[in-house]
Amino acid sequence: MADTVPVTTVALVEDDRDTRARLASSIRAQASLALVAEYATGAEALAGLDSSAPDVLLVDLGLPDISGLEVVRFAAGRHPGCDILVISIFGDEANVLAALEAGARGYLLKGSLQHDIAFDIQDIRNGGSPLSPVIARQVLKRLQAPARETAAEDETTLTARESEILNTISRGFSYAETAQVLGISVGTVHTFLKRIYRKLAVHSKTEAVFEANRLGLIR
Amino acid sequence: MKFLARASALVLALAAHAAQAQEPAVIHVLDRADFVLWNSRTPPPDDAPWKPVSLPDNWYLSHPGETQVGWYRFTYDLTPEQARIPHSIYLLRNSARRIDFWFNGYRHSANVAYGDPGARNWSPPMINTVSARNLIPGRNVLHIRVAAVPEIRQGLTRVMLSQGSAGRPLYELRYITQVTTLFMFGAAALIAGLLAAAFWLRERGDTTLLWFSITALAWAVAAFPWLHAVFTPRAFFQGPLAFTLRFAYAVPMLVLCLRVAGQRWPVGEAALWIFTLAGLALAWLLGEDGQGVVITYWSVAYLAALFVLLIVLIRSQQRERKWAFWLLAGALVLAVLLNAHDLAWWMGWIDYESFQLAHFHIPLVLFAIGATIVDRHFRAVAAAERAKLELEGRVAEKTREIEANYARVEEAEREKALARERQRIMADMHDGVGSSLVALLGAVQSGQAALPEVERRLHDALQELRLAVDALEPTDGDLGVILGNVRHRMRAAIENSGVRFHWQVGELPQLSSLTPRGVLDIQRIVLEALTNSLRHARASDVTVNTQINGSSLQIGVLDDGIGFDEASIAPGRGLESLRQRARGLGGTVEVRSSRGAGTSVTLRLPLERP
Repeated sequence: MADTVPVTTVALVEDDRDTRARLASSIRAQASLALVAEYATGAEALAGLDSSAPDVLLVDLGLPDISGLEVVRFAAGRHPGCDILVISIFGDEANVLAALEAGARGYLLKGSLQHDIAFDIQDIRNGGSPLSPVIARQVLKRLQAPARETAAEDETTLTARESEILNTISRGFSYAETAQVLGISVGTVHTFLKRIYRKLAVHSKTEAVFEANRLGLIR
Repeated sequence: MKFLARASALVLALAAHAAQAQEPAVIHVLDRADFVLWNSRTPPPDDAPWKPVSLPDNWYLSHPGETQVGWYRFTYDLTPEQARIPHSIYLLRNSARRIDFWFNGYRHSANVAYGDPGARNWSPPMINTVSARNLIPGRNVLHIRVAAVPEIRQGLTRVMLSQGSAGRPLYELRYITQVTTLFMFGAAALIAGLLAAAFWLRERGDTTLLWFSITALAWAVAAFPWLHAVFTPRAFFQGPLAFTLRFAYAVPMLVLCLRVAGQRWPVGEAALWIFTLAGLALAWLLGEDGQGVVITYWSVAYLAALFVLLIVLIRSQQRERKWAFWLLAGALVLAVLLNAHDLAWWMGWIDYESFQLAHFHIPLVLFAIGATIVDRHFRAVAAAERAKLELEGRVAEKTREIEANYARVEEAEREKALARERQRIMADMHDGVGSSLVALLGAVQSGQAALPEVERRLHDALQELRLAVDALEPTDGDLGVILGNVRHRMRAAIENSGVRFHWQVGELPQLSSLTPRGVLDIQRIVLEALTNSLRHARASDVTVNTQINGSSLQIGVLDDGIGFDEASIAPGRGLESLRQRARGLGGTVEVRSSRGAGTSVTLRLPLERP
């Protein structure tokens, strides 16, 4: 299993033992994936991730000790090349958007068929997780607002193309269809989405700076 | 008013000036004479029963009774220089029916204008020029023939001789104070009366204005001395005319006092009117000789009434003693005093050479009444302004109250809607996810359910739950996102089914009135239709499309599967629940199918909710 060509290394942070076991077995079932670490708590994860960097990190948001978002933030800062997926039951907008802003690349639904995990991980490796229309719309709204500071404009606001992509996705079109509608390749759609995620993360940071400034925390 | 004040000041200044100029101008003040009652056309002989008298001589006191003719004889000395210059002879009052002068036996044609505006009742001053021809150096004798009516206080004042026209200023000053002021005050009263009448015609409610107008017009009539000249000749009318001109303003002024005091005395007022009419009738019946008595008693009565009403007025206004009130009270006090003066003169109690002064109160009364009316007007305006402000305040307060109420109602409405929405979603969960989980539990417990079936049904339940959560996301009724979300949630199912999936969703409008429940209903309908096509239709192609027809939106789910015979199946529970949901949205669901020809489910929604 380990010696077949390009293997994607996967680490898992999940406190529920059964779920962890199911996910682990589902990952192991994929020849292209290799499970390199399992963590049951946030502290364990932070300690483990300090030294090793998996290609893909799966994080449950509901950890017993610290918020899963902390782990995401830590991993995203420590290993920029690591693709992070959060595990969510509902894939609801508030949680997913927060995860994306913390540096995640997408999310997995807890109850998904086992087969989906490989599918989604593959998607992530290719450049982005499936973005739900609700979230795409939310991202569109958030990044479309005129930037408060001109210096940050390029980093935090969407280009016309990016807006078009998000708009199409928000109407339920798949990436392939979106690519077709816009006359670009699926790869390009993924590239754009990566850029959008980055902007979202930067935006959330500048937003935080702006807020801090406003509150007088930064001088 | 200002004009009157200035004119009065001018009169006073002239009087002061004349007092200084008097002494050098007059060479003889003739205040002692011999007198004889003698009805002749030429001076009586020296042996007639002449008796010495001093002037002024009021016949009402010295020779009461019928109209008579009498002669005055004056002697005085002139130097040769004085005798060479023409003289002027000046009487302070021309208060007789006829006056003739004889200088040293020569008759001087007296240029007494009987039609002088001030003649008769107003007895104006008189001045005549005597030619030097009739004067001699040394002792001169002057006879004056007087025909007078004692009843109306006729007689002779002192006689003043001056050289040339040196005595003229005295005469003019007297004329201005006695006659010209009458004209001025009469004119002012006329204007004020007409103005008040005009105001009253616009504002009928204020009877004070009406009475002020009547009073002022009556003053104007009484104060226009030329009226006497115009109406004098007919002896028949002289009694009532004199009465009218003297007392026309009395009752209106009394009523005015009452009105200003805010009082109405119907009986007393009627009595006053009757009293006036009686006086008029009496003056008529008694004629010229009898009118003196009438004037006496009526003057006394009116003066008493005026005095009483003045007291009433002052007592009535105890609360609001503004400057305008004091002005009016002062004017009425002055009126009382001046009328008292005139009565005293009439009764012969004071200097006969004085003249009637009653009309001098007119300017002050006019000013006071005018000030009162202006004051009242401005107070009314201020009150109206205050009332308006108060009203505006109250309206604003009401508006705030209404707005607050409205906000409360809106808040309550929103909360109610929210509660309703929550309740409906709860009910939906209960009937949907809840009941499928319970059914599944039962199947698992009884061991009937096969594992794949359990998995599938659990999956469905989870799916349903996720849709319910999605429905609560803020989509702002964006239909594109709402439909897109269904596809997103069914991505795995679609891909696993192996059908060719066609997503033909165009740009869709936002239905901002869509509630979470509405979102869920739309998603459920599409999900249900899609699930049927994927699971049961055995289709190779499944299409979701949208279309906008005018004011309605059409969402279609079509497949090319096996279909079913519409007629052969009873309307199932699934189909009925689809219809119910569509109805709740104000739309319809149409299901078309026939065996072997695929199925189409079409949801039609109105774009604008009424």
